[in-house]
Amino acid sequence: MTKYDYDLAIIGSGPGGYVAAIKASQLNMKVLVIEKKDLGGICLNWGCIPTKTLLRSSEIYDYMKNSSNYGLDAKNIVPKIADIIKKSRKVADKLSKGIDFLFKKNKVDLIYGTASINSVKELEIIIGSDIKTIKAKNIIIATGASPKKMHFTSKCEVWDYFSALSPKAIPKSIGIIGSGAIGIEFASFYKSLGSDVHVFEMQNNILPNEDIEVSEFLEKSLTKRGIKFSLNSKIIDVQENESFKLSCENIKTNNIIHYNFEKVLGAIGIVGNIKNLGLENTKIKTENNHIVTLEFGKTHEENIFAIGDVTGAPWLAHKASHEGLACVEYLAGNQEHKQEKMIIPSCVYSNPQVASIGMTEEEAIKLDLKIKVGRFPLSANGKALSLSESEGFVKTIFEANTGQILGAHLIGAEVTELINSFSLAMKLEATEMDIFSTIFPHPTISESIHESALDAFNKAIHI
Amino acid sequence: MPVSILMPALSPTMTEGNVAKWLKNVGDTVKAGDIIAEVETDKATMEVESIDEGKLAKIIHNDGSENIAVNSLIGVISLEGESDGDVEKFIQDQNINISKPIENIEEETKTNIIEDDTSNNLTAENKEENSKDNPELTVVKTKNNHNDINSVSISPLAKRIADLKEINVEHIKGSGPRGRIIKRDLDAFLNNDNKEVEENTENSKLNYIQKSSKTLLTNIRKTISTRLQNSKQTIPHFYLKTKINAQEIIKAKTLFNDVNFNHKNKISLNDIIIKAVASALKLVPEMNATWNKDSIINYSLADISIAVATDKGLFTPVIRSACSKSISQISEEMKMLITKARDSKLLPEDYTGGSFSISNLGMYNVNEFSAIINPPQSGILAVGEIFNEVKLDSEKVIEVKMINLVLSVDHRIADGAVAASFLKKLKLLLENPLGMLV
Repeated sequence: MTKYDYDLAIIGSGPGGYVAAIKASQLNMKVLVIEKKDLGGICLNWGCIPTKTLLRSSEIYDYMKNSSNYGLDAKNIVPKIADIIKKSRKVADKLSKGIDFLFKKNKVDLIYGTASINSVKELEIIIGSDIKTIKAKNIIIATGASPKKMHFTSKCEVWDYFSALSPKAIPKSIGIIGSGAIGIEFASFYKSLGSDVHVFEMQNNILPNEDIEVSEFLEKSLTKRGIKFSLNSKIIDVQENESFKLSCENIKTNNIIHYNFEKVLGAIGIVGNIKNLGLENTKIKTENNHIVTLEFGKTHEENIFAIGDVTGAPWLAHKASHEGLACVEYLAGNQEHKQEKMIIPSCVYSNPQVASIGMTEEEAIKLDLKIKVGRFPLSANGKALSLSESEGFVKTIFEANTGQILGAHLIGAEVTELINSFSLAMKLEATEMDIFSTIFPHPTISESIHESALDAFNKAIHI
Repeated sequence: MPVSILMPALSPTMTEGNVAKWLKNVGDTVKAGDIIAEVETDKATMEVESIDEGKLAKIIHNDGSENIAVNSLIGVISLEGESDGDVEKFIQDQNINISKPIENIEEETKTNIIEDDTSNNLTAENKEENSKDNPELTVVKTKNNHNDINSVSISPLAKRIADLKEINVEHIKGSGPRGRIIKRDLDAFLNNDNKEVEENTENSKLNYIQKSSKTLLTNIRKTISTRLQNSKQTIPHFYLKTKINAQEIIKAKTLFNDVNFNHKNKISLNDIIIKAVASALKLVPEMNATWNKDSIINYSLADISIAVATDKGLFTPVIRSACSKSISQISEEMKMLITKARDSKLLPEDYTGGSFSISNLGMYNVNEFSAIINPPQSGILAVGEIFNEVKLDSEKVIEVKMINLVLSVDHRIADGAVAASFLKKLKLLLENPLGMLV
């Protein structure tokens, strides 16, 4: 019988890896985590968390600039970018230390190094100048993803999110390539801090994965704040001299326009970290730089699993954590049923915020579903008005016969804190009747959820 | 005192029924004779009438509630001046002194105990809490809802789908947390685990994909299956076959319809066969009987059940005292019963009783078949199609219209000779319809 050093070895300590590790340990497995650089991965160090810290600073700055809205008079407010960055690093460090603590508490072993799988399915870990070989009964690959590199005719240092998270100064102007969540959040942040922001998107709407109504509403709202958008725009080249010269072609009109920016941020997506893992020594299949997985994170190689960003879109921390938990529960033999389809909410922390779950109206129609759609504007919600945040709406989509909640699409203040109602409702398979009969506290923005559902069935009270 | 609305027993075989639809809402005033609800039984849909005047105070089993034991409380009518409190108290009392049909009382109680045990195990803590805080609620739940969909752990969406698609969820295994039935369980059920089927096909290396679907038994189907399985497995059937010359009854049919010109209903061959069977039963009274465990019950009049096929399944309405009715009376009655059967409107008095059945598959071009006895009856006559047979008649070849008859008989009631003499008499009557006039 083979003797293993560990029941489970996890490569990567991001929100997929570290959550899986703690859970596995709780289920009495002996667990090792191998981390290349930052404990907590991108999410905690260079993604979700530090961006939210920056956005909070910019949000408060916005409030202060608009202090007269609240009967206040704040003058001479100056954003200090160095301090804003410092604050975000502090939060990231604190959480990273928190994971260290959780690992110790749960007796998860941690090695800083880079791991690869050798031909006998052992892990070879390079730690500084040492190599350590470890045998684990099961391996989870949770190596995450990296920004997709852009290639131009000449060498130029286009920003990625790492650079955008730690600028030395606030650029006067910034061109952002890509209008996904990352592009939009940075656009919102830099606009608040005073940059001239221009977003380029190849598709004909921003946040292309969102419901078209939300996308159009956000575009209008951000345009009102002074952000410029070039849709249907393909980047031909970026050249760096003293500033960046960006050339783009409108794919509809074939017009080529040149712009000058102090900085350019490339946010065209991410690619899975699948290199140098020794995947060639396994039967693991990859596709478009991502590992192909089956249910519970199974790969095509026995006893090797993959979770999170390295397995493909949607690239979301909470998806990674969920997959990690499901995978470990499966390894522990706690999963008697097939994995349920994940209903994954997504949040964009721009101002206004966007949060969504399930199908868009377009998707539902494409599937030939008979639907009922409800909308409730925050301008009719008392709490939103009190907050001077009446911009936005809650849109709900129901299957007409069964009342199944197919999707919800929210835009406006704090909607990222509301979407979980739909996560729960959809997971519990609530119908419109259950939302009707739920008591939403007054006054809260959450009342819009109730009204939106009522509206879908022509029963709204407040519109 | 408030008045209870109970699940009615519409036939002796009925042990449970479904609430199809409430026609009154809670709070509606009801007068004596008002129809309050529709109840679906194993055979038909039936209206429940109010016998008192008052207000519909409470609906205990909602529209679509299934498999409610006979005599269970399904709703309550409050009389003038009675408060909600009175009604609640009344329901509580009802549940303590719940009355059950005598023959079922033992079985029902057993089911109750078993089911309550399991639910107690699952939510022992909740139950305990409940009983402290709200004893009434617990009593209602444990005593009354033992077969109710509410006692099944099911998501709201899955419940809605089950209602819409009329799926009985009782036997569906839930794959959600704590065995909760969720949408995908119903999807899997509706697709009849297509995957499984497909995988099997893959294994057997067939180059096509077999698809199948599963339909849960309706109450009607359940009754048919249990009754007929019981019949075929426990009744010692024997079969007698004969062939009749149908020339005369065909002639008679034409004649009757000519004579009967001012009647809207056309007389069919079947109507004549019913009359002939009834007359033959009068002539051989040993066959006009039912089996009663340790005795045989003989009848003076011939009540004949007729197999009627509908979308929902097989029904057997009864022509009462067919022996003493004219063929045109039988014909009219038959047409009415067929309409009722197809509309699920048969009343218990339309289908209970009967000592002998007729099943005719001639219209489907079935030449000959053997039917299963409809218990506790003595026998069933299977009638085939009219077919031509070539015969020699004074050295001339002629074509004669014939019908095959197969008689299935319960050997416990009648021996071969008795059955044979019945069949002989029947053949005689059918070949000489004038004999029916006697």
